[in-house]
This record gives sequence, structure tokens and C-alpha cells, in this order.
Amino acid sequence: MTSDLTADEAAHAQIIEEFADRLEMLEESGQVSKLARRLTELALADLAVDLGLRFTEENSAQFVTHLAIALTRINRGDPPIELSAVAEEEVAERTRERDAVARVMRDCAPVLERTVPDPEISYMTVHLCSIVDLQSEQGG
Amino acid sequence: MNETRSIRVVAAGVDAPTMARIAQDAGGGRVEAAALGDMQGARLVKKGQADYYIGTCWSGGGGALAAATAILGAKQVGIVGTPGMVVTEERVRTMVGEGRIAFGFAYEQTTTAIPLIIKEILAHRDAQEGRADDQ
Repeated sequence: MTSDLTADEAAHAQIIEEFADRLEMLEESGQVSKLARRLTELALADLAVDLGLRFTEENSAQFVTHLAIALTRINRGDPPIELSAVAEEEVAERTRERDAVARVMRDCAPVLERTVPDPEISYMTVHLCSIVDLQSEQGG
Repeated sequence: MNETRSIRVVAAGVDAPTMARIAQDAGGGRVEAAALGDMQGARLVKKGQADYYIGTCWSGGGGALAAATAILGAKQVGIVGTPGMVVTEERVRTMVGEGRIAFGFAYEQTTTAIPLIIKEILAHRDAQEGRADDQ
């Protein structure tokens, strides 16, 4: 367990540093709440360790922005977003990634005081899959 | 006669290189488009080194315009489409006419949204230049 905790902490520190400018900009402009920012950083660290990924500004900017905005929207209780058939098709066979996102979002739910709806999980999974695929292509 | 300068468009989001190519093709030689990161692209528009920003994300309402909103301000940006909201000429024309300079839409709307946006930007530019020539 000690090594897992260390990996989590290292991933969390890397995420905080890597996305500080982006998340600061989104929080300062009022688009992302402080709570959503913190949850975004923790969720990314969790996914990084779980799936063996390294999230960087270069490969994950869109995912990080999407995640932070989505968690803010969910926490605020906005109406559910409509699911795109194209997005759903993209992740239809990506059970591993979808399960990872769903698990992390289940952990977030008590803090958000909301269940994360399936369409939101699908959109997060689409973004995550593009990073997984890119890392695979690069031999990571 | 005023010499017509190309309209400089930055594209950011899902498959930005394809977005830039579609924008350039739709512009018929009057548009220069480049694929950039969202923060870099929005900063270029802010500095006046680009004229318009187009952004996509999968849902159209999340990351497509987040950086542009933060850097340019909410009054300068507009969502023209999401998976539940079809991109219409009227909506695009209204937003361009209001002076908005950053437009967001869902990735799946790329091929329909970008030609419409470019068409309305060019029409808006023509109208402005026509007015300038009349004065």
C-alpha cells in the first residue's frame, strides 16, 4: 500500500504543477469552481495511476478542461447534457477506460453531492481514450 | 479601394488541423487558418494577431470555448451548436453581427458549422468594407 500511496502522491503533484496555469485561468474566470478544480486534480491523479498514463498539457489539455467544466456543471446541478451518438459510438467498446472513469466519478459523487450521469461519463471517456490511444501510438 | 486583408482564423479542439483545413477551404483564398492549442489561439486573438477563434469539444458546451471565454471574455464568444442544438445560419449570423469573435460547437458539427461561420464572417467583412468604401 505504501508504494501505491507514493505513486498517487507523485501523480497528484505532477498534475497540480502541469495544469496550474490552465486550471487557474478557468477558476479565475468563474468557469470552474474551487471544488471542481480540486476534484479534477485528484481524479486525474487516480486515472494516471490506474491506467499507467502521464497527463500533460500537450496530450490532455482538452480532457482537463472538459473534466473541470463538467464537474462544475454537475456540482451546480445544471440540466443533464445531451449525449452525442457519435461520442457514444467512440467509446462503445472501451470498457476498461469507461469503468475507470465511472469508478473515479463514483468516488467524486459524495463530494459533489450528485451522481455523475452516464452521458457525462461517456464524454469523459471519449477524451480519456484519445489520450490512451495517443500514448499507445507513441509506445508509452 | 481598400486592399482586402485575409481573415486570420485559429482553430482549437478535437482534430484542430482538420478544422483549420475546412476553414481555409471555405474561405476561398480569403481566410488563413491555423491549428493551435486553445490558450495559445485565444491569446493570439486577444493580441490582434488573429481575427477569429473556432473551437470544438465533444459536447460543444464544455471545453470548446473555455479558454476563449477566460481570455477574451464571455461577451466575445458564442456557442453555435451542441449535439442537441443544430447549427443554423441565423444563429451564426446574429453572433457574428454582434461582434463575437470566438465560436464553439460540437466536434460532430465540424463540417457543417465551419463553412457557415466562415460564410457569415466573410459577409460581415464585406458589409463593413462596403460601408467604409461609401464614406
